[in-house]
Amino acid sequence: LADCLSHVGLAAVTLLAWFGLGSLVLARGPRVADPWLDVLNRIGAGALSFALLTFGAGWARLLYPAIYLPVFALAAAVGAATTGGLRGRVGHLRLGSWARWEVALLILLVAYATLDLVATSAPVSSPDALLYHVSNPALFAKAHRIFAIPWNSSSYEPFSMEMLVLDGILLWNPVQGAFAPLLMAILALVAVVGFTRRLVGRGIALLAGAILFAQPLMVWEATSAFIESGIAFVIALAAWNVYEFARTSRRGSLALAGLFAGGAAGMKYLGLIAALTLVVAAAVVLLRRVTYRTALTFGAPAVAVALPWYIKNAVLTGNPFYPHLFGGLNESAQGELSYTMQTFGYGRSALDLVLLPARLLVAAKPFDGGQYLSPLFVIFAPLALIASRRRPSLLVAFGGVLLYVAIWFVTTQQARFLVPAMPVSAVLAALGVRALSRESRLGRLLAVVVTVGTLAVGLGASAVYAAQFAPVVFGRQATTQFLREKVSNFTGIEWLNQNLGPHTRVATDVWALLYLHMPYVTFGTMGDLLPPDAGPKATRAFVARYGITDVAILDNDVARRRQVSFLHARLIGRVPVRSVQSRTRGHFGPRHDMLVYAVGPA
Amino acid sequence: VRRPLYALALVWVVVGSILYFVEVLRLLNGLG
Repeated sequence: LADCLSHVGLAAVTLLAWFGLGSLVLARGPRVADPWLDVLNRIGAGALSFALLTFGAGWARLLYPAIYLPVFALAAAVGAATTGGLRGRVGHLRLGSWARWEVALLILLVAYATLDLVATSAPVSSPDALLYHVSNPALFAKAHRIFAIPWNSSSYEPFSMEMLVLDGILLWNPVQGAFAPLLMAILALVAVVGFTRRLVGRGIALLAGAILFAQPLMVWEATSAFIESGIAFVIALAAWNVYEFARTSRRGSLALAGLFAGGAAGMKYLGLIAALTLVVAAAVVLLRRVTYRTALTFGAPAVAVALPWYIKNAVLTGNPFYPHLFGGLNESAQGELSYTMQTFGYGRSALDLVLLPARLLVAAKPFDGGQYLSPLFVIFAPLALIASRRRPSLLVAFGGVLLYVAIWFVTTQQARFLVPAMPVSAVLAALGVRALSRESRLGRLLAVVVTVGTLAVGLGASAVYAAQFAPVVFGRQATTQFLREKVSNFTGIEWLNQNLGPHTRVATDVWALLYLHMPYVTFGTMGDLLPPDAGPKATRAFVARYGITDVAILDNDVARRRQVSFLHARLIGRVPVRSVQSRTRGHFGPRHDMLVYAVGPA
Repeated sequence: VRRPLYALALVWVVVGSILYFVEVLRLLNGLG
């Protein structure tokens, strides 16, 4: 529990540090009238600045806690000093004047935040985090520098969020790193509530926040060191700043919108798609005001923030968009990745598109966890169009969401990748609930029953998910036991840590790389370094090139076992392991053996 | 319900929510 509280405390200080650095960066920036937006702009600018500073420090081989901690402390001190100036601008909470349903929504949001904090405080166990979102930053922290990780094509994506995870590792440990994506999810919530409150008042604002944040998919997203919560936050901020520009014509707002859209493009290629969608929607809204100058006001900060990542990729692979577009480094890995991305969902025909809303409601499992997506987006967001007679911009916002969903539909249909569009969709859905409630008593009754029912179902599922992390966080379960239950093949990882020394270099295909103590390489997530069908010559070259001393593979991996037979390899260990099919339900795959070989000189 | 757009919205909400809650019940049944 002490660890949990320390993590939460340090996460709060991290927020203060982002706010402090952002206040410095934007010291000469535009004056923002709305205090909520002002605070969020500074926090967002600070987070992006930390990410880019860490990126620069990584290439300058300066990733040391002794360097990071003073910068962090200084930024937090500036943040603490600056909050003084905010008093009086941000209103006080007077719950006495709130309606009961508003208080209930606030309690729901606090309950969700608590579930998220508990889940994030547990040792990292999300497969993607173990494979790269947290394990790659951990490698960088250990080496005190950033370097290319050729076995994982995802490491060529823009990595701003991983830089913030790296900051958390420098601050304390990987669990602290995993708090950065959670902070982003909470900030996205604040942005949605703040914007909607400004638009239509507190109650519907809290409802919009609940639609975004109080759903199992967001709990999973925010507590698993994923990237999309960060994209959601900066896209929400960019959209709010575009709205400010549309209202006031102050060009500073447009520059801030550009800054945050560029920030999204610097987090992942998905963020680039989200940013471009926002640009299209903004261009439609601002059609008559688009000039060379306004385009430059938006575009210059956007490009400046995103560009370092694309240059890095161009230098490392010869293609700024590797591994998704235009080829580059490794054709077979790229092909494998494209294939994998297309395995989600049902298909891409016109009929699939027509059936998409219904499938998202009743049969969403093939969308990789789509069953945890709140149905309120699909049910209520289209209803905002009823209100669009008075607010034509809602039509454009809805069109922007549809455009994003269309791109999602033709690229990779993973429910998680819809998160960047969720802040805008949540506002639309809340306005849809409002429009329906205002129409008739029947509409009101229906809106209340469906919303309350959905939030109740979501809370149940989210509580079940978060409960699996409570025993280890509150000290009732040992960390090792937790990891054996939640991380695939963890007993094999334990064996390797106990039996292989620090001077070995193991080649493996298991995903729990974060917990390996010795140097390692993998054959490649997509066979990047050694395709499964590679012959003796390529296999020996791979072993020689990466200085591999040991190989750890599963006994059912026929292709790798065949490749081991090309080497002078001796079986030194046979460790029973099992994969985790579902962490929440405690479902395991069939037992296998991890085969460990010592590789002799060729 | 006065306008066709609202009537359509009501139908959409009713159908969508029935689909969703039936699926929830089916999932809960499966867990049991």
